[in-house]
Amino acid sequence: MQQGRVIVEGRNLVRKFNDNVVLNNVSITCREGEAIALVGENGAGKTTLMNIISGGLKPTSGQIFVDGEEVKFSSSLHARSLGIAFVHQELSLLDEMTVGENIMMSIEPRKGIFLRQKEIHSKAEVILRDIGFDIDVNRMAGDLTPAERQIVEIAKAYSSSPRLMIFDEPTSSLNQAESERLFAFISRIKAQGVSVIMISHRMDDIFATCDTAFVLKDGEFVFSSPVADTTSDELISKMVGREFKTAYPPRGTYDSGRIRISLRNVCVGDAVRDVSLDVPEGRIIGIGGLEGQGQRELCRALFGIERFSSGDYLIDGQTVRITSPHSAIRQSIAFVPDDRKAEGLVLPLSVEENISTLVLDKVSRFGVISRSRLDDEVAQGIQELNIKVQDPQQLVMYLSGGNQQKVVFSKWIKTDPKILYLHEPTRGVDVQSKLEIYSLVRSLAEKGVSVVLFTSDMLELIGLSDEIYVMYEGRISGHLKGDDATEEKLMRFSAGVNELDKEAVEC
Amino acid sequence: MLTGSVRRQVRQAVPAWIILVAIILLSSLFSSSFRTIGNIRNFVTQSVVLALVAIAQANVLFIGGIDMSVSSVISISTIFVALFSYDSTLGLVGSIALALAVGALTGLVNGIGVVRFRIPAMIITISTQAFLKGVALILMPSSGGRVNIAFSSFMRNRVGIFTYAAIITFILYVIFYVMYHYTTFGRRMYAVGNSPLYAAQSGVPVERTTVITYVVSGLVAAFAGIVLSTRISTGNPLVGDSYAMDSVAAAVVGGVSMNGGVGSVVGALAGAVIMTLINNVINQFGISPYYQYITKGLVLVLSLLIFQLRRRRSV
Repeated sequence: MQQGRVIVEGRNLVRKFNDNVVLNNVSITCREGEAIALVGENGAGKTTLMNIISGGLKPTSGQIFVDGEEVKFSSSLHARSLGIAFVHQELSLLDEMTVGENIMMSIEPRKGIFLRQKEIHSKAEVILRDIGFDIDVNRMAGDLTPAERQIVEIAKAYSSSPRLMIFDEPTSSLNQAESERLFAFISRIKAQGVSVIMISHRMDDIFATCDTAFVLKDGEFVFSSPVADTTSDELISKMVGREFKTAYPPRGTYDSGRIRISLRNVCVGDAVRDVSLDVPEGRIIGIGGLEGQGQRELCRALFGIERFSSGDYLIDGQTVRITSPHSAIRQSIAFVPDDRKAEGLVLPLSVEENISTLVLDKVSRFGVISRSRLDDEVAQGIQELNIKVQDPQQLVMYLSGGNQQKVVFSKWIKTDPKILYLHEPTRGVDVQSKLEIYSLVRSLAEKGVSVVLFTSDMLELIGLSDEIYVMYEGRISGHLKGDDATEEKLMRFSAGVNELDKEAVEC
Repeated sequence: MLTGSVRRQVRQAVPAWIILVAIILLSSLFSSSFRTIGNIRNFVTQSVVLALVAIAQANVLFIGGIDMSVSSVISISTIFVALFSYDSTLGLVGSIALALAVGALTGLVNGIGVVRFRIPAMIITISTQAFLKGVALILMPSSGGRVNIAFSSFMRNRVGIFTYAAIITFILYVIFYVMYHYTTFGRRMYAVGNSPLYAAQSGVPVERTTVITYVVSGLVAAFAGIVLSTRISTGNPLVGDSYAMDSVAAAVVGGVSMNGGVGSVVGALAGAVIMTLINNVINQFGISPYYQYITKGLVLVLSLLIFQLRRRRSV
C-alpha cells in the first residue's frame, strides 16, 4: 500500500513541554486510501502527534506538508479547512441541540441569514446513513448513549468531507456490531481515497481495518510495518521494552497476613464492573492498564467522590459505606488525586496553609489555632519530606511540580492514614522528587499503611507494587506478583488479548 | 415551525406562562379592582420597560453571560432624553442616538472585557454599571429635565389597551424570537452558551458572537431607558437601579438558564410580566409594598427549583 498519493506528511516532528520531550523527531506519511494504526503505550506520544497533525498543537520543530506544500496550522479549524478531521475521544456534543444541529454546526444550509432547519436535518440524516448508522436526527444530543454520541462525533467530522480522518480509540464505547459497521465505513472511505489514522490499543481493530502499523515508544518512532506482515505479539514487543531508568526502593518485608481492604464485586455504573480484590496491611497494590479502563472511577469511588453502584467495600473486615471524602477521611483514608492543581492543593495559598488543611483540629484549642503548634507541625512536615521552600509562607503555586506533590503527601501524612490511595502520584514530577516519593511510599507501607497505587506508568507500576491488578474495560483482566510482572505481560492484559490469565491469577 | 432544538428551547417557557395565567385568573377572581380595564391597561404599560430589559438580559444569559450594567444604561438614557430632547426634533433624534450609542459602547466594553481580558461577566458589567452611574449622577444629580412632549405622547398613544410603546416592545420580541431560533447568529449564540470550547472547535467565531451579543444588550437596554423616559417625563440617575436584578429574575422565571444555552425569549416575556404583576397585585390588595420583595424572592426561588427538578428528571 505504498503507492497512493501522499495527502499529509509530518517530517521530523518534535514537541517539548518545557524540558520534557514528548515527541522526538517523528515522521509520518498519510497516503490516499491507506489506514494507519497508531499504537504505543500510555504517554508514547500518540495523541500529541495527532494533535500536531490536526492543528490542535504546534510542533516545537519539524514540518507538516499537505499535498506536498508546507503548511503551518494556525488552529484545528485551519487544518479542517485543508481536509484534516480529528474525531476526538472526549465526547462533547451540545446537549441542548439536536443530533442534526450538532452535525451541521457552523456549516448549516441557510437562506440569507435564516437557517433551513429541514435541510439541516435531512443533510445530517444523509451523512449518518453514509456512515452506516441510523440515529434519529431530531433527538437531543443530551439524550444519546455514549455509543451514539461517538457516532455523531464521527458524522460531524465526516460532514466537512475530510481527506484525512483521524480516530482516537473510536471503538472504546461501541459494541461489536457497531464496531463492525464503523469498520465497514472506514473501508468505504478508504476506497474513496480518504486517508485514515486510527489510534487504538485493540489488536483486533487494528488487524480488521488497518493497512500499516506505526509504533511509537517514549515519543520516538520505533517500528512500522504493513499489518499483513506482522502479528499482535510483534507489535506488543515493539511497544514495550523500556529500560528501568529509575531506582526503586526494595520490595516490602511487612507481612502481618491481615487484609486491610476487601472489594467484593464492586461496580461503578458501567465504568467499573465486578471488581474484587484484597489489599493486605503494609503492602503496595498497583492498579494498571491503559488509560480510561475504569481506574479513575474505581479510585474515586474508593475515596467517596463517586459512589459504588453495587458490591461490598470492606475495611478490616467491616463493611463500610463511604459516601463522601469526609467519611473516607474518618476511616483514616488518604487520597492523592491525579490533578494536584485542581484537587490536591489550593494553589494561591501558602505551603503552611496547604500542609495544615487537615490537621487544624490537632493544632487548635477551642477553635483557635495555636501559632506555635501549627509552626511546629508544618516545619516538621517540610523537613520530613524534604520540601524545598525558603519559607512556609511561600505560595504553593510558585513551587515546582515535585515540591507541590510533596506538599500534597505531607498534608495527608499528617492525618496518620491507615490507607493511602494514590492516583498518578508522580505525574509531572521531576526524577529526584519521584525517587523521594517512591521511598516515602515504601516507608509508609513498612509502617503498616496499605497503599493502592493507580498509575498508567508501567515502570512505576512494576517497580513499586507488591502485587499488580490490570484493568481492561472496567474489569480486572490480570493479577500478577510484582516480581513476576514484565511490561510485556502487563501489555497483554491491558490490551485484553491474552487468555493466559488463568495461570497468572493464581499468584 | 418548532423544529429541532427550537421546540425544546421554547418549551422552557411553558411553566412561566402557566404561572402567569394562574396569577391573572386568581387575581381577577379575588380582586374586583384588579379586573378593571383601567388597571389592566395600567399594568400593561408598567410591564413594558421590564419586558424590554428582559430581552437585553436574556440575550446575554443565552451565551452564558450576565449584564448588570443595564440599570445604569437605562438611567443614563433617561437623562440624555430629558436633557436634550425637549426643544426640537433634532434634539430628540440626537438624544435618542446618543443614548443608543452609549448603550452600544457599554456593551462593547463589556464584551471586550469578557473575551479579550477574560474578566468574569458579572464583574465587568458591575464595573461599567458603577462607572455609568457616576456619570449619570454628575450629569443630573437628581431627577430633572424635560422629555419632548410630542415624543412622550406618541409613545403613550393607545390601540385598545396597548400603548405604542407596548406594541413596539411586542414587535421587538417577534424580531428577537426569530433571530434566536431561526438565524445562524442565534444558533451560534446557543452554541457559545452551551460550550464555548466546542463551539470554537465547530467553527463558530466565539469572540465575535460574544461581543456582538453584549452590544445588542446595551442597545436594547438603552432603548428601554428611552421608553421609560417617556413614561416618567423626566431624567433620573437612579430610576434604572432595580432593573438589573429584576431583569435577571424575569429571564430566569421565564426559563432562561443562568448557565447559558437554554431558554427562549418567549419565557423572558412571561417572566417580565409576572414580576410586574407581583407589584400590581400587591398594590391592588392593599398589602404593604415591602412584601413585594419577599414575594419576588419567593417566586424566583420557586422557579429555580422547578427548573432544577425538571433538569434532574431529564438526566
